[in-house]
Amino acid sequence: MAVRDETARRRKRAGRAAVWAIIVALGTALWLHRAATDGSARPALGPLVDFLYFVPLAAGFSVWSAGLTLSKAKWADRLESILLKGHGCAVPSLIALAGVWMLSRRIGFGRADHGGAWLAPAWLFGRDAVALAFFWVVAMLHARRRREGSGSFTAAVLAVLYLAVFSLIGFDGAMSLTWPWKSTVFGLYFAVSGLYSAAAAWTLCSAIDPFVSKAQLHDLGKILVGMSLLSAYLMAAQLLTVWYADLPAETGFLVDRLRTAPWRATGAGLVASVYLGPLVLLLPAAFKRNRACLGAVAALVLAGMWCERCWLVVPAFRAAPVAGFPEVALAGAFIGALGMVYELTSVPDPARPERTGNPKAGSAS
Amino acid sequence: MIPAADYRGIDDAVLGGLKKPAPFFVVLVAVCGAGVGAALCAWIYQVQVGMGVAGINHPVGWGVYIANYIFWIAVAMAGSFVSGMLYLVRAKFRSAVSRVAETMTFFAVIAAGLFPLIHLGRVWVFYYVMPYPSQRELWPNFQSPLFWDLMAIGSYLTASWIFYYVGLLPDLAAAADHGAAAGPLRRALYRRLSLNFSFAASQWRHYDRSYLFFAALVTPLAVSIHTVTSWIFGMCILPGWHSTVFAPYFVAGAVLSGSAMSLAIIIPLRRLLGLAAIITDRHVAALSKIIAFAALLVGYTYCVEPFAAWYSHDLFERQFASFLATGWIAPLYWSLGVFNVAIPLSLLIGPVRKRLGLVFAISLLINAGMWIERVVIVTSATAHDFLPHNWGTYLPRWPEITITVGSFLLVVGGILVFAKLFPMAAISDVKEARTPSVDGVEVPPGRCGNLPRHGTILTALFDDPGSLLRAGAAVKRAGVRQLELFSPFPLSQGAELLGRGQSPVRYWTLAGVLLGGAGGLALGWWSSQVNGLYVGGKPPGALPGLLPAAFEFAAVTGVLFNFAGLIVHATLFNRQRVRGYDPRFSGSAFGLVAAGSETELAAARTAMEPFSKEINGGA
Repeated sequence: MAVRDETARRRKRAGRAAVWAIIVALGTALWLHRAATDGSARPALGPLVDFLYFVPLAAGFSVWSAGLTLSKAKWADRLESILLKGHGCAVPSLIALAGVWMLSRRIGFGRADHGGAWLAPAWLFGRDAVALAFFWVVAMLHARRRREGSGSFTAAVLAVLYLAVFSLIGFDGAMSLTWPWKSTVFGLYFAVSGLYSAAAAWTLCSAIDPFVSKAQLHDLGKILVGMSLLSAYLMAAQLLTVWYADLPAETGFLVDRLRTAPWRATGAGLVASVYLGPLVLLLPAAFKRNRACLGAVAALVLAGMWCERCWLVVPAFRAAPVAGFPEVALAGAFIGALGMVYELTSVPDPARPERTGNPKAGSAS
Repeated sequence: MIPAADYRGIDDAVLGGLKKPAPFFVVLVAVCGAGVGAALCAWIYQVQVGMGVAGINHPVGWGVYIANYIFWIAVAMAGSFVSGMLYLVRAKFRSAVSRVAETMTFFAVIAAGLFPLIHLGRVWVFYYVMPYPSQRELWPNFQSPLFWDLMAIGSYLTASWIFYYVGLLPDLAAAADHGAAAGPLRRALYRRLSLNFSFAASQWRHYDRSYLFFAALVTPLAVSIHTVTSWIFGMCILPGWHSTVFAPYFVAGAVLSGSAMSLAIIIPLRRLLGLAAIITDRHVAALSKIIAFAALLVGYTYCVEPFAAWYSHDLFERQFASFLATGWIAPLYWSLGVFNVAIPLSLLIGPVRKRLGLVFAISLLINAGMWIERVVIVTSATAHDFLPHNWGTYLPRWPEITITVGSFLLVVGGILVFAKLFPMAAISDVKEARTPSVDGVEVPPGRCGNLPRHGTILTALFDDPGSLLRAGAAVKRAGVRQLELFSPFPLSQGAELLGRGQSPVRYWTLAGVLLGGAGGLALGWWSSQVNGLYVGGKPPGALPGLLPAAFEFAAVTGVLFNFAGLIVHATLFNRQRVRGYDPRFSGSAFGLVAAGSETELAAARTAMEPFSKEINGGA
């Protein structure tokens, strides 16, 4: 009976993975068609935005697992199993980086005025690829250790490595687009906002799962609020400092994003959806414990964070139009890739409790 | 280590610290007092002769005084941050160390607040920076980081002191009942100061909620105070100061130095006061881990600063980074990596954390390193700005050194005095943390009324919270609806049993936050219109510049309203304790008091008997 159940579950997973694969293929095809017919920088920006959005998100899953390990948190219980699938994104993320590397000249990396040898595409993407690969190796090691019931050391290394690697990717992949503008907090913000996206994705997956208790949802809601405040704090620290100093070399970043249409509206939308939205929408405890409400806020944050990546990247190319259908299709392909990884990555999944009683009822953890 | 749920042992250990100080203790306080006196003399000399007696001069106009200000603000920030943040994340080890951290904040914020006044020179004109309607119609610039800092200090001082006092309320009440070592006069004073807190469930439900809001407001306030301090430098355009990472960098540094200062105080104090059974090695190890985590963040920012200078090809940033690494300040600069990153990271090693002497030494070294870091930040940028002919050096003189040493002795002496005046561990929190959670008690629905002012009552005493709750549920099921519960620490099921719902304190707090925020924005905007001046390229009333001060207004008003809500709803304005109160309820006993008709009381007695060790009153 158990073997038959397991076989049926595997078949279901394979079926879902196939659906995700079709979404990947469709999204990529649509974007390729656009890239082949449009010689401008615009189609090339899509992969960069998606790389900067989805890869920290996937890596963030592994880091949240490391955080649970380091804090010896017991509340998450089986919620950690989804996080341990994060390392399954290793290969797709490196493929995505390779794609961005191939398009780097078209995007604008390696211009004559672009930072000299330090920002030459080969060196820039080469070091990012090595750093990313190293991160994923440690993430895999951590997942293995967690399965064995240990992992404190790998968790600490993984957390430090995440901060270093994704700060570097933030500096290289996003901040360098507006070179010589610099912001020392940019790398930290980039890494933290990646963790924020990961927390939102984790919350969304948990809100869909009927076996996740209300107490766990409440804790996830608190994490979401905490991460929104931290991200807002770091972004405010950056923008307010630039605004106040009013230096010609710096204010361009602010003007392009907060004073110029359509990014001005996007910036206001980000404040409402990503930075202050969760705080206001999840203020009452009842909303944090409500599956639909929490899931909706997590989805809003995920959508908002994708817009935030566009907001960071695209205004650097003042002539480039806003994100359109090809970019959304490519983002769909990345979501499909995440879905495939989720279905195909093998993590020992603790047995589900029997469906006795109402799964929506809360249980204290 | 006191066994879990030995409430009497916890009372004895914590309140035993209030006994008459030993001669060594008195000598320590006297030495601190003498040092503070010497610092006061140096300050008077400086006021009399002028700021020329200090080492600050062109081009370094900010020296050790401002470095001390940042250092003490950091320590002050970390006390409330550790206490408030750990409360929000439900870290149980907080219960034993929070009081020491908050006491440290109490005095560190005083020390910090003094240094801008000392640096001012003409201290009597400090009120110029206050926002008040003067005859000259001059208003401070609400968009200035210096004004933000003034608001932050004022707000933080108010909020952290109230937070400290509210945390003390149950312990003061317990000290009034059980602090035999304190003597009758002090016990009477404790009773007054405790506002007759009675450990009743009808009070705990407001207290618990209110304390959560205090923690939720004090934590961001603590972050904001050091953020705003960092912006005094970050908003400038000098290389070495103008940096977007300064805000999180200062906050991480504050957590590092404040946690290290907490340990440097906790380790000797637990020995002096005999608190080793309350503040255990486990608590020291937990704080050590926080220090190591903060050191990683500080190390990150140490790397990012020169990296960004190199990355950007910015000539001025590069020459400044080169100056730090090779100029006259280089020995201090390079020592930061050792004191503030390498040494604290040694706390990641388990055996190091277990050796208290070593942890104490590491804490002191971290504090030395963090003080040096402040001096490097404050003096280096002005000593080495854009123009080579403007470069200079700085060396503090004896008034600065005397006042600096005096500030350390002020904080240490103040903590020593408070250690003999107030309980140095949060008694009710420690009891709560050491009590296993009570599960499996089904609370009958329905709301219970307050006890009547007159008439017969029935009081039952219990040894543990489980018996209290089971008896309470049985009494409620028996139809008795006039109930009160007493416990030495908050029981969430107690409020549930009374069926009173959520505390309305939250509305007070929300109203305070909204009113304060709106009021701060309105005052900032209106005062900027009085003279309508463009300052530093910013138009009068520009919103981004008004937000930091408005935030401080919002947080401090929220704290004040929260405190008012607590006093009103928990009836702390009463001159009497809640009816049915027995001094044993603040110690090791749990109580259930019922009122009603004779039949109801008889039914209540029957329901209580299987669980209670003692029943008094009734027919």
